[in-house]
Amino acid sequence: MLNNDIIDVKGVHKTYDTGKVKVHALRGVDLNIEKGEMVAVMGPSGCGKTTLLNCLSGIDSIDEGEIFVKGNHIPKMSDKERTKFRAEEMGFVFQAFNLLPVLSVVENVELPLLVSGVKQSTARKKAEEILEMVNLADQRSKRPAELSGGQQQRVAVARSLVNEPAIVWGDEPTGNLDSETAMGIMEILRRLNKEKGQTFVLVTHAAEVGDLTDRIIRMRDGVIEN
Amino acid sequence: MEDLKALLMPLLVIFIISAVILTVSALRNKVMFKMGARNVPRRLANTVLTCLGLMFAAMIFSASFATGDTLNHSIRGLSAEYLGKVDIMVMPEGVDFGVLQGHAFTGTEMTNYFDEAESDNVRDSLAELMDTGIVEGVAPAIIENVPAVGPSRLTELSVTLLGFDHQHREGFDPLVDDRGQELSLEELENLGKGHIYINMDLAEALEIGINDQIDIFLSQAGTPLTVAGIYETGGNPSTFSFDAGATAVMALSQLQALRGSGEINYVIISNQGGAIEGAKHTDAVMEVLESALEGTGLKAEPVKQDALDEADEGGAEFSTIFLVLGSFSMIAGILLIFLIFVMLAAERKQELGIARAIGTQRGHIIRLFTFEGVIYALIASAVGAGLGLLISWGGIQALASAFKEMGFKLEFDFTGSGLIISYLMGVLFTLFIVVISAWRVSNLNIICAIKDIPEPPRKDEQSIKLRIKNDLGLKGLLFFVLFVIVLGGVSVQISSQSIGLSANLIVMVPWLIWGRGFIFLQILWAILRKIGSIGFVFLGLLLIARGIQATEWSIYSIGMSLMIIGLCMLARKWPLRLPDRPAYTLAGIGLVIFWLSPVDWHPKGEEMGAGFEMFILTGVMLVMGSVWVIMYNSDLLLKAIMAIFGRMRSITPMIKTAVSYPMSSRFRTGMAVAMFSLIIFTLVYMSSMIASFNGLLDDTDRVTGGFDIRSTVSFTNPITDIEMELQGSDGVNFDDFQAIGSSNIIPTKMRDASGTSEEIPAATQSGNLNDATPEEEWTDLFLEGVDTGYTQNVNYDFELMTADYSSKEEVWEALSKDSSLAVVSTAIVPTKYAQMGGDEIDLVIGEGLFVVEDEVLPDNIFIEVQTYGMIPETRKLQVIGVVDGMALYSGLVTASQETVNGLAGNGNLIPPNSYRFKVKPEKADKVSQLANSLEKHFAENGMNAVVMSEEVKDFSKIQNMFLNLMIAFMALGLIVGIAALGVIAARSVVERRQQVGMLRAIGFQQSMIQFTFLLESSFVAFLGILLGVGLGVATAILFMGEADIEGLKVIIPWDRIAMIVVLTYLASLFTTFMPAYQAARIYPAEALRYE
Repeated sequence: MLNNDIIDVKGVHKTYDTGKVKVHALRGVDLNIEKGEMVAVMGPSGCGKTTLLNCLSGIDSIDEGEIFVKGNHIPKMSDKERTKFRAEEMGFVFQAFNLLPVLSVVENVELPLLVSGVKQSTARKKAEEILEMVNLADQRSKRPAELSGGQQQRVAVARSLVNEPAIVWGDEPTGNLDSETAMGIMEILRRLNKEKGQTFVLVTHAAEVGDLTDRIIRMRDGVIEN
Repeated sequence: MEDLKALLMPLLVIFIISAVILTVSALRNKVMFKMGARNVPRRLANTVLTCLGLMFAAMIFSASFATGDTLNHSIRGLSAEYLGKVDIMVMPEGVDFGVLQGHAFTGTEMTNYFDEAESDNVRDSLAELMDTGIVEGVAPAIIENVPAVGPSRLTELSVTLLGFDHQHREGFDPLVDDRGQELSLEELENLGKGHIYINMDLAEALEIGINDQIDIFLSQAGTPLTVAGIYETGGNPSTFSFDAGATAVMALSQLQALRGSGEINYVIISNQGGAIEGAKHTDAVMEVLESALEGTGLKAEPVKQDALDEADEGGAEFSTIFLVLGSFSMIAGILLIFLIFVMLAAERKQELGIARAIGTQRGHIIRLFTFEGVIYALIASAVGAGLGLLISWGGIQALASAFKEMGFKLEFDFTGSGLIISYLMGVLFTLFIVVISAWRVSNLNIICAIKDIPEPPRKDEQSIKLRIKNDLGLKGLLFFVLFVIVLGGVSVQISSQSIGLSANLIVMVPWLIWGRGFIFLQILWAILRKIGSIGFVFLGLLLIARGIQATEWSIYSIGMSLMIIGLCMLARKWPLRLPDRPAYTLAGIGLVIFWLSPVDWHPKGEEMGAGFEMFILTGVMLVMGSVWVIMYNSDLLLKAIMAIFGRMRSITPMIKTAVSYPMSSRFRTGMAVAMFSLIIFTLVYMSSMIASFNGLLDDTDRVTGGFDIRSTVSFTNPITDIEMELQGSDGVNFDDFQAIGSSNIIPTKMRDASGTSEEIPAATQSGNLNDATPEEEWTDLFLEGVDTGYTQNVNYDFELMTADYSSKEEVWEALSKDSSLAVVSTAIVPTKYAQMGGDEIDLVIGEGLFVVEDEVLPDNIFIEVQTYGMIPETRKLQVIGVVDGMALYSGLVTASQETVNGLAGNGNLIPPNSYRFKVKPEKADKVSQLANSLEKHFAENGMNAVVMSEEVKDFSKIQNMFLNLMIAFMALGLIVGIAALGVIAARSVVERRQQVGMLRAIGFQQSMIQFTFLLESSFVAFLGILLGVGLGVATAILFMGEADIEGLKVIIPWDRIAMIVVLTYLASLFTTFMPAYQAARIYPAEALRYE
């Protein structure tokens, strides 16, 4: 592993067994991503993009291969260790935003901090700061349902960054948004990537999203093409 | 219960009609039926929980019926045991068979003996019925209760001595020994004087066998008799008592010789059929006897039928008590059924939306849910009815041991009809709620359902006018008429009894299923929404006025509640335009304040009457009000919780999510909280009531009147002068007693003569019974006459006294000096509160002139007392006091011994048969010994001495056991709340799958997810439990504080409440454990892919 690589993946295989059929989702993936890099993973539906992201972030297991994130061998970690690692080092942005509808905007954003054991008042302060960065400070008391799609995704972005993670994973972060709003979100992500030097791995279908990243990794049938 | 059981046929008819309608509907809508049916096995855990919730109605019905049936069966068994084949008894007027057997009027014209020839007259009059075989036996008999003493001085104080004639034994039970051999009465007669058959109970009690000698006391001198045989069965009729085991039989002629008279005191009659079946000919035989006995001074008593009627009444009372107590569980059950179906609909929102989008009508959706609900109802009610039996069986086993100590065999029993009714009631009741729920869930916005987003505020889709014109039509109007009839029936039933309500509501089910009913309901609903709040206020005002006029708490309270709700809802409209939150909060607070307000805050509050329905109403309204306040102010609660627990960093995120979820689902959380709090409320209130009233029994002196021992003696051998006998006695030290009071009793007819202080005209003083004013019916009651030993020492206080007296001592003194005065028990005076359970006494004196809750007894309260016999004596007694309700040992009507003797006429003295002893304080530890010594010393008089404090303790023990059983029965309702939590938790796991995946992604450990779900259920459970405890305690303090019962201290049994809280919480934790576990095991990658 090169010193500057934050993610180092070798020969990763993943098969889904539904009982009747086996789906070979990843067929020996090798990949390196440098610290501070913003990468887009692209490819047709069913090529294994989301599976790769899930395996790299440790929310899914692999059958074979090695995944090192910040030098930690993810597959060898227990569920508990992986979860703790995610809480401290990772942030997530999903296509469906996945905000908790019963919590207000600021409460959603501060949640990862509270999970990591940060004091309530500190968490609230940090959450408000990050909301400021995504231009949502004035919406902090609202519930997600009261916001537009773009605003909700900005909340999700704020939530993913609030604990200052080393890596932010985005699974179709602009998938549910119109192109203008999508570009707005990408600009924010790009800006934060540059300002904070965090690594972004984004799974996307959209070419214009890919164009805004440092590098595009193309996948087909469970393997990386380039 | 017989009334309830008469429901069988109507229920069956409704069931069949509903079944036909549903079947036709299913055949016409096969797809909907298939969809409904296939939903049942879709999620097994959900189906189980749903059935658990739906089985409640059937369970409560069947447990209540089986409990009643058991009591009925056991009392019937007991009557068969002590009456045997005897169905009817002929005896002099004024005599009862039973408690006061052998009342000694010998020597007066009031004797209860009569010529043996009357027996032949009775037989002659029944000749025709005997020929047809309807009457199997008519026999002369002497039946007396006598003391018996064995050779080793062992004593049996109460032996039923029977004198039978061997020539007239046909049709009655033969005397059979333990080897199955019949003992011949003829042989006994042939043995000559001085021989007796005794039963095994007596033989065991006296430890004697055949040829041993016993002494029986028909008079002061004992009669030595030789035991010629011991029988196991056949000594009937014996007098009723739980442990009336000891009987003995002599030849009639020899018993007559012993008495020195050829008279008899009964003619016994046996009808065709066994011990129970014989009763069915009672009416036919009684009709003949009544005309035959007219003018003879004799009467016929249908003893068997009376006993069976009593059994039926007792059983019915039991069933009713349990049904009423179960009503809380049923209300909670309704909420659960509703919740379950709303949640099922929420779960299937998208598919329902799609179904509607492709052309499925609302009616189809209603049918779809109804079909599914019917399947659940059919299964759940069967399980419920069975479980109800099991619960009843368990309860009976618990009670049986206590009753066994009293000698009463409680045998579990249930009738097929009870079980079928329970099942049908369960199915139809559930079906009704299901249909209503289905109607509500069918009302969905298609787009919102497909997108799974919240429903927008609803607007009336069509104008009311248009709906009536287009949808209702002529058929609808016909249904409207039916609806009005049914609703009319319902409102009549509401005013009479709650059970009828559900029965009547069930009638509406077929109509609703047919579908037309919904259109009408929708229109009705739209009209209500239009006039809603103003209508509420208007209706409220009407009910308030009616309640005050009729001095009825329930009507007034419902009116006030409607007005409070109506006013708050009205405030939401122009010009105030109050938002929902303050409107509902105000309504909730208003309800809580109103229902917890003291009586004297309200006009005529002190005068208003109330029954058990107020308890149910109070519970429901308080819970509703409080739940509104909590649910509409959930953010404040959340802030408060976070302020308390927010500092505990490790659990902060979990608490936040666990509390936020339920607080944002107002409907389901509100329902679950309401279910818990409703049941906990009843448990806490009932427990507090029991604890507080038990506290009253702790004041033994108040219950016993300050006496320590009570005793009764045989009528056949009374004590001439107890003080003299004790002074000269070796066994008992007279000086140990501080006071001895005695009382005599006389059977009389009584009636209310209040409202006038005029003397009874001289003509009727010894006039005939027929002179009685026809308006007031006579009631058979005993008049108790007490001596000065009693009046000077008793410390019973009075609920009410006339203005002439200022202390209890003055009342008792006046009673002893003036033979025209009487004091009465609270059981025969009017009260503004409805009584529940207990024996109803027909006589109520001074109705309309006063109630026991008043301050002073008016001076125009009179009671007219008349003796039996050919020349009855009549007295009009002024009631000068109503004895304290806790005076358990005081008679219903008490006068002086002179009054009783005066009524006996011709200077006859009726000897005392009951004594009370006050032991000197320094001898207090010897009370039990003294009671034993008294029994021994007066064994020949049949003295039965009881230590009163011990008796009170035993009474309290049995009463507690029964009340605890009732509480346990009510606690069953908690299963509803617990099931609701389970349903909610299971649903939440499905609903929040993706969110759980996200939480896991951002760092929630598995254990944290599980803890969050458990915490969430715990929060709802605790909210409900604490609310229930709070409301229950508050109501207990308020109601019992106002109860106006002297010495009643409100005792809150915190230990028991803590137990209820802990057990309920643990049970709810147990139910939510599985869903929480499943939530924790959600695989994040899969959950996040779930879209």
